Amino acid sequence: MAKSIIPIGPYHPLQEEPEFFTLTVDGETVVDIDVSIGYNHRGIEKLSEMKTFDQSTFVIERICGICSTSHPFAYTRAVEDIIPVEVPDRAKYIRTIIGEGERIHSHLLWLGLAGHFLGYNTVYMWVWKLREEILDAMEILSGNRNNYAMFKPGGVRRDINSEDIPPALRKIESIVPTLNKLKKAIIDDPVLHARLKGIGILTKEEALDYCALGPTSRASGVAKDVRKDAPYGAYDQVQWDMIVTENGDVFDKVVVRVLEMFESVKIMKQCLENLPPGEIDLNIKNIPPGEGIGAHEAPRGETFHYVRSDGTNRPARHKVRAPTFMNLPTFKATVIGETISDATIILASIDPCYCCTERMSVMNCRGKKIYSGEDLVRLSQDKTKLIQKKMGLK
Amino acid sequence: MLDCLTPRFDIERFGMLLAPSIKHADVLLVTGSCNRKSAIRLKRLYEQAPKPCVVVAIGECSLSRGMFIHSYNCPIPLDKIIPVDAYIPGCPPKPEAIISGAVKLIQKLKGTL
Amino acid sequence: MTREEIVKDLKGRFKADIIDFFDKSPKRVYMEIKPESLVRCASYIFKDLRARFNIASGVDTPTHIEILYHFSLEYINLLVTLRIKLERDNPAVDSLAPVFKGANWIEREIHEILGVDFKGHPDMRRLLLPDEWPAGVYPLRRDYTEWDKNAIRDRGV
Repeated sequence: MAKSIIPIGPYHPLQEEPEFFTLTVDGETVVDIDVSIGYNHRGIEKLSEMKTFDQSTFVIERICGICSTSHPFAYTRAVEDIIPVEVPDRAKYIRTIIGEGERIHSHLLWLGLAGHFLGYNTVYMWVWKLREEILDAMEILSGNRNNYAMFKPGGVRRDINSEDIPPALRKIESIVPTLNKLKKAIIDDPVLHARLKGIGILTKEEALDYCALGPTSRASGVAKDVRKDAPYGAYDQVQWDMIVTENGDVFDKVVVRVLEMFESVKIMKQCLENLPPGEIDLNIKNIPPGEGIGAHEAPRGETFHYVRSDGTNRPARHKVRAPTFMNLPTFKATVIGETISDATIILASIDPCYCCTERMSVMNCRGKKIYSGEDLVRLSQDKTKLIQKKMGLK
Repeated sequence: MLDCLTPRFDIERFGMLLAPSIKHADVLLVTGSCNRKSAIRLKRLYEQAPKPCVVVAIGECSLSRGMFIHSYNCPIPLDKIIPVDAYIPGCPPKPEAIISGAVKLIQKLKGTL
Repeated sequence: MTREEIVKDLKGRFKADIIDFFDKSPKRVYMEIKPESLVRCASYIFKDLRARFNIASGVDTPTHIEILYHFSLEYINLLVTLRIKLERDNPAVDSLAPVFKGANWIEREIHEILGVDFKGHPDMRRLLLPDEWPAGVYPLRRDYTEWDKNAIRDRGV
């Protein structure tokens, strides 16, 4: 049967990070997908063995720009698990605040990009403008918009001043009315329903077989979240809900992320208002030989770090596993059987972060037409326009 | 870097837009260190860009590979792969720094720097 | 099942395969097993105990190569780690990819980075390293040395 192969990437103007997909299509339907990564592999695990435990935190932070807190969080928990030791309460609260702030800005970033892939460029611009408020709040609390450099094995490096808390709280609460408007606009929009419902379904059995994580699996009905299953930080001392939906399609993944943002705002507010006094650092001097495992619920799923120490001041082995590593293979289950105009939004729906994972060209045998990557995004935007016209909205 | 396109920092007021394809581009912004796989593709991309094409290296990792200098997968810095016209340091550089670098580049090209 | 019941069940069921059982803390259990019994133990933990496969870590030590398989049992907040030790000259073990698909990519990564052969893996291609990388050179081994003559390792300042 005549099949065509579509490459997407590796350097595509609308992808955040380089990756290379090869979709094999038959007419309009995708029959196979192959993912090729490795364009961002910088050998961080080997680098970590050349640095001391404290220096390693800075390398680890720069694995990814968007989820830059999740890696130090999991790494410091892994090092503390070697001993094992618990950090002081104030440090736990500060870590939680930074972790949740990162979750909000990461989900907003993804929402903007998803809007762009669908053709709603206004959503992209508005959501990124909203994201600036959160980045301002993080700058007030930690000094930087990304790469906060707040973590260290044994606690946090810097404290949050009490006079910084009211302006940060004001900024965080100011996004809630706009988020409410966004929630109503997304959940009730008929064009988005037609466009995203029933597309790219990942069933619960497949999610469990591929060991998918984060919103990707919570949208398929798998109620797992490291913050609830193995509580750490301040997550068991504040009131919040886990968002789980049943259908596993792209629409559900959008809904899970939008609702999670409200929960993150709740957690941040409670933590900032109830910050306990006390020490912020345990001043760990020596790491004894042993092994430790640390996990953190990053915006994309569970980040897992394994650290082995042999008594010197450098890790003997540091294994980094980002959530996207487990979520990427699920493409084999979600994209096959869908049309190529839906391919971009399905590929974007797992919120891929290729930097973390590492440490799509159509060859048409029947005709002569070759699709390129931006053709696929344009196909996706055209499909939205068609649906809008059909519904009489344009 | 994508923050520069958004309403608060709006790099469009300086006359820069995101181009859909390398064939329409005048400026190539590079972030991150080049590893073995991406160096080949980057060279190919640079050759596809219609000259004159200006290259801007953003962030420490593209200046000299930053902390990845000892990595087994990042053998050479960016300016040994393709010629670079402007360097913007920072880890990560703030959007204001990127805009300042872009404006300096425009002035240099116009000859007014 | 509670945590104590699961620990007792694992110790009893795999008595012949376990070399060492380290109950480190309420949330961490480390089990060293013989490489031949890997597929049996992992299938039991994944399918019958309904654990989630986290990741596999390959470690190069001065005497042998170790692979650790981490499984998460969320409902009792327990992390079970299976450890196998392989000799450095020709490390080989059965692949877990036919049992659950989550193991597919990590085995490809360990194969190219540490040189372990996974028997029965459906698709053993390069995952992260470029195709020009010389065969037989494994970056994460302790005896890895720089093979690239053209690499520039100083900042030139």
